[in-house]
Amino acid sequence: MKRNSFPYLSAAGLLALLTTACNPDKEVISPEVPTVTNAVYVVNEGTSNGAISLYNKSTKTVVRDVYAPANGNKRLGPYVQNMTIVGDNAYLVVNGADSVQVVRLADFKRTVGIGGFSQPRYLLAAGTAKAYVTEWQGSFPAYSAGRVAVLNLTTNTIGKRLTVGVNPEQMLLVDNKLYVPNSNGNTITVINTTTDAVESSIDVPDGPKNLVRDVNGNIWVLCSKYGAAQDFLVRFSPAQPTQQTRIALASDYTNGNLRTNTTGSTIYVSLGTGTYALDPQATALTAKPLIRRNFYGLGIDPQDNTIYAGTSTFTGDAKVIRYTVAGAPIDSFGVAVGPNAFLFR
Amino acid sequence: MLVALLHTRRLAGLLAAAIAVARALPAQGQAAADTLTGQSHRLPDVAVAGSKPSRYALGTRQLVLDSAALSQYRTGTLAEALAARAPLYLKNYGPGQLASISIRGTSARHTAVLWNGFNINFSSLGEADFSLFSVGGNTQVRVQPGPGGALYGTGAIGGAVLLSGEPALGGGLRGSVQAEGGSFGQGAGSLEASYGAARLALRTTALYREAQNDFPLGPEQNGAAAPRQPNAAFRQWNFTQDARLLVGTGGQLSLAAWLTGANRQIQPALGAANRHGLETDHSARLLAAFRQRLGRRYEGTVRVAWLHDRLVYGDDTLLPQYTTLSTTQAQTEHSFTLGNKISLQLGGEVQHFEAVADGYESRIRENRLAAFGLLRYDATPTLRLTANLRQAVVPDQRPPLAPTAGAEWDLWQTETNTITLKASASRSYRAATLNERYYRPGGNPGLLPETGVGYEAGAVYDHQAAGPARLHWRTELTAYRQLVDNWVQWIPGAGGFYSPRNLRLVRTQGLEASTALDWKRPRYEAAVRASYALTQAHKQQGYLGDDDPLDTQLAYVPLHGATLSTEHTWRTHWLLSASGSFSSYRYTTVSANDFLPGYFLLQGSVGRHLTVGQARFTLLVQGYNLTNTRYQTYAGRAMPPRSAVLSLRVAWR
Repeated sequence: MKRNSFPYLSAAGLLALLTTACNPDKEVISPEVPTVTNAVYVVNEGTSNGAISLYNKSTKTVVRDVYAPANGNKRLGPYVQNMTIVGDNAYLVVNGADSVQVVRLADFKRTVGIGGFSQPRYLLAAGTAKAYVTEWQGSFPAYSAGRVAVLNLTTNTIGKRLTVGVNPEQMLLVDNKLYVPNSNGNTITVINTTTDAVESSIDVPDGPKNLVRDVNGNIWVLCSKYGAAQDFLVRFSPAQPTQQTRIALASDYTNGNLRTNTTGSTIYVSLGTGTYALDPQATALTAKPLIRRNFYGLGIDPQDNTIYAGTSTFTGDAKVIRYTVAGAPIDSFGVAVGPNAFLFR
Repeated sequence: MLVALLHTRRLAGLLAAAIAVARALPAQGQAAADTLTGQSHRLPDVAVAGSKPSRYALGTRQLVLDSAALSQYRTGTLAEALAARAPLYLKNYGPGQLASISIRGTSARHTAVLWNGFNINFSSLGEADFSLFSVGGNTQVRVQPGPGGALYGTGAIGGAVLLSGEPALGGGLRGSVQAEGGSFGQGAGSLEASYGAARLALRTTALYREAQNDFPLGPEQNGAAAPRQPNAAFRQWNFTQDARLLVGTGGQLSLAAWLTGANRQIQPALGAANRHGLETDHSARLLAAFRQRLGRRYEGTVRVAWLHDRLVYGDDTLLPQYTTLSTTQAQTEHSFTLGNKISLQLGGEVQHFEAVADGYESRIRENRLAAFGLLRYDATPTLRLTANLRQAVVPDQRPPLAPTAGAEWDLWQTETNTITLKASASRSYRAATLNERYYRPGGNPGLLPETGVGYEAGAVYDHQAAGPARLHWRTELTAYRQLVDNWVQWIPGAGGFYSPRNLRLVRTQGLEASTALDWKRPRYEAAVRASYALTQAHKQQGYLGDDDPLDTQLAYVPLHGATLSTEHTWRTHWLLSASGSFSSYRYTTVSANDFLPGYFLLQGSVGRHLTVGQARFTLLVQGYNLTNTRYQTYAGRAMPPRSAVLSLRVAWR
C-alpha cells in the first residue's frame, strides 16, 4: 500500500503545505506539480524488533532507527510490516505486536498505540479520517478467512470489520472501491468505501498479494503462491475485471514488490530471476531484467524515479542500493534488518 | 563446585594398573571432586563402566561441574548451572525457556552433547536445549572446550558436554528427598535413592519442577505496578534409573534410563503480542552396556542405546507442529595395553536415525557409521602423548578424517608443586543435520560437512600443600585458535526458499584462564573458583550470496566472560556460597551494531545442616540476581529480577 497510496499522499501533503486551510479531496492528483522529495523512510521489519530508518537525500546520511531514540528507547515490536503517512502522522503496522503505532512525523514520537488487531498486515488510508487494515486470522498452515478492519483516524478506534478471503495483503483504492487481494486464495475482494460493505469478488490466479494501478487506469496484480506451479502478473480494467491479461512467471517464493512510478507509466516487479520494468501494455516479461537481482523491498522515488532496493538475509543489518531509472547502480547505504518498503517525503 | 579443570595427568609409574582403572575411572564424580578438594586420588578397586575419553584427550582443557557444584542446582537445569559456573555463553529465551550453548564463539550446533558416550543432540537440529537437561540425574557434568571430533564424533567443533550418571558400588542404601519453593511460582520436589553392594549398584532419581515466571517487567511507574511477564510458565520432570552389576571376573553390565519431559508456555518477546505459544518436549533415553576385562591387557565394551524425542510446538498463528525423532546406536570399544607405556583403543559406532516431522516430506531414515582409534603413549614419567583418529561415513556426505594430537609435559615437579605444559591440535567435523538436508522446502541434500581445525596450548600450575592446613591451588591458562570452514548458513536460495549453504569461514580465537583454590581446616572449609574467557569470533571469508560483513564479532558471542564463586563450610553445618558471572556486551545481529549490554549477576546461598540419627536435614536459602539487574541473554526475552528459593532436604545416610 505504501507505494500505491504514495502519489496520493505526497500530493495531499504538498497541498496541505501550500494551502493551509484546505482539506484536500482524496482523489486530487496533480502530476503537473513537480514532486520534490528530501527524506526517505525505510520500513525495516526486524526479527525481534523493527525499526524505521531515515535517509536524507541531500546529505546522503542515514539514521538507522528514528523510532527508539524518539520514544525513550522503547521497542517498536517485531515485524513492522507497513508504514503509511497520513497528514502529519505515520501509522506503523507492527504485525508481531498485533498493533498499529501512531507517531508524529515531525519528531517520530508515539502519540497512541492501537491494539486489538489480529495479525495486522497493511494499512491504507482513504482520506484523512478513515483507513483500512488487513488482518489475518487462524493458524499456519490452516488459516481462516481474514478481515479488513475499518479504522477511524480521528478517534483511532476500530469500527466495522469486514470478512474477506484468506490472508488479505496489500490493498489498492480506486475511486470508491477498495481492492483486497486474498493471498491464500484466488480472489480479490472489492469493498465499497462509501458503504464499507463487500461489493464483489474477482477471480484471479492463486496467491494475489500486490496491487498497483497503471497510467491507463488498469489494475495489476502479482499472484505468487508458495508451492504453486506458476506465478502470474495479471492486468485488468476496473470496469471489466474478468477480462484479464496474464503474464506467466516462474514460481518463486521471493516474487514480490509490484510497484509503479508516479504516473504509472512503468511497472516494476522484483522476481526470483531479477527486477523488471514493464510497459503498461506488456504481455510478457522483458527478455532481460532491469537489474539482475531480487530485492526484499523496492521503492521508486516520485521525484526522479530513482530505484531504492533493499537486500536482506535477516541475520543482520541490510543494505539499500540505489539505481538509476535505467538500472545502473548509484550508491548504497545501510539500514536495519529486513527493509521491505520506502516512503518518500 | 566448580568448574575445575581436570586434566588427565595420571600417576607416573602406575601405568599398567592405571590403564584398567582409568579407562573407567568410574567414580568420575568422586575423582573430580577429589581433584578439587585436594584429596589424593584414590582409585577404586573395581573399574566401572563407561569409557573415559578424557584419558585420550591430553593437552585439552576440561571443566568439571562436580557433585559439590551440582549440589547447588539439585532441582535446576544444566543451563542454569553452566551459566553460573562456567565462562560459556548460554542464549536463554527466558527462564526455563530454550537455552542454547556457545563454546569458544561457535554456535549451539557446534557442541556435541554426550550422555554416557552417546550423542543426544536432537538429530533434526543437531543441537540441544540445555533447559531440558535436569542436573539431578547426572553425577557429573564435564565440558571440554575445543574441537574433539576424534573422541566425540560429529558436532564437537566448539566443544563437547559430557554427562554421566554412574551409581557407586558399596555404601548400602541411601536416600534423600527435597522440596523447595520460591519467587514467581517456583516450586520443585526431588527424590533420590541408591543402593550399593559389592557387586551391585542402583540409583533412582525423580524430579518435578514448575514456575509461573510472572515476574514484573520493570520498576513501578507512577505508583502503578509494572506489567508482568505473560505466558512463561512451565512444568518439567526428570527421571533416571541407573544400574551396575559386576559379572564373573572383570565383567560389568550397566543399564541406564533417562526420561525427561517439559510442558512450557513460550515466553513472548518484549513488545510482541502474546500468541500463547506452547511447547512440549519428551525424551526417553535407554542404554545397556557390557564391559569385560581380560587380564591386564585387554578390555572390551559393547553399548547400545535407544533415544527417542518428541517435540510439539504451536501458538495462536501456528497449528501444532510435531517432530518425532528416534535414534538407535551401538558402540564397541576394545582397549589394549601394550608394554608399560602404550594404550590403544579401537572402536566403532553405528547409528540409525528415524525422523517424522511436519517439515519433512516423509519418514526419514539414515544410517551412519564411524570407526576410531585412540593411542596414548606415556613416553616418560613426565611426558604423555596421544594421537587419535576417527572416520565417519554419512550418506551423501564425506566427513573428513578427524585426527587429534595432544601432549602434556610436566615441566617442573616437586613434592607439592607441578607445572604442566600442554598442547593439542585437532580436526573436527559436523555432518549436516536432518533439517539441513531434508527440511521441505529448502533442505539441501548436497550440503558438505562443516570442518574445524583448531590448536590450543597452555599451562597448568598445581599446588597441593602437605600438612594439616590442606591447601590445593590449581591455575590453568589456555590459548586457542580455530578455523571453521563450510560454516552453514540459511539464506534465500533457488526458488526463493531459505536453504542452508556452506557459506563461510569463521575464525575463533581466545584465552581462557581459571583458578581453583581449596582450603581445609578442621572446622572450616573454603573453596574459591574464578574463570575468565576472552573470545573473538569473526567471519573471515564469505561466498557469493552471503552479504553479512567480515571481521565483526559474531552475534551472541561476548568478548569477555567471567565467573567467580566461593563456598564455605563452618563447623560442618553452616554453609555459605556466592557466585557471580559477568558477560560483556553481545551483538544481536551479524552487523555488529545492535547489542545487549553487559551484565553482572550475583547469586548466593546460606544453609544449615542438622543431623538427627542417620538423617541429615539441610535448610537452604538461595538468592538469585541479587543486584536486581535487568538483563537479557537473547534479544527481547526478559529475565527475572531478584528472586529467592527456600529448600529443605532430608538425606538418609
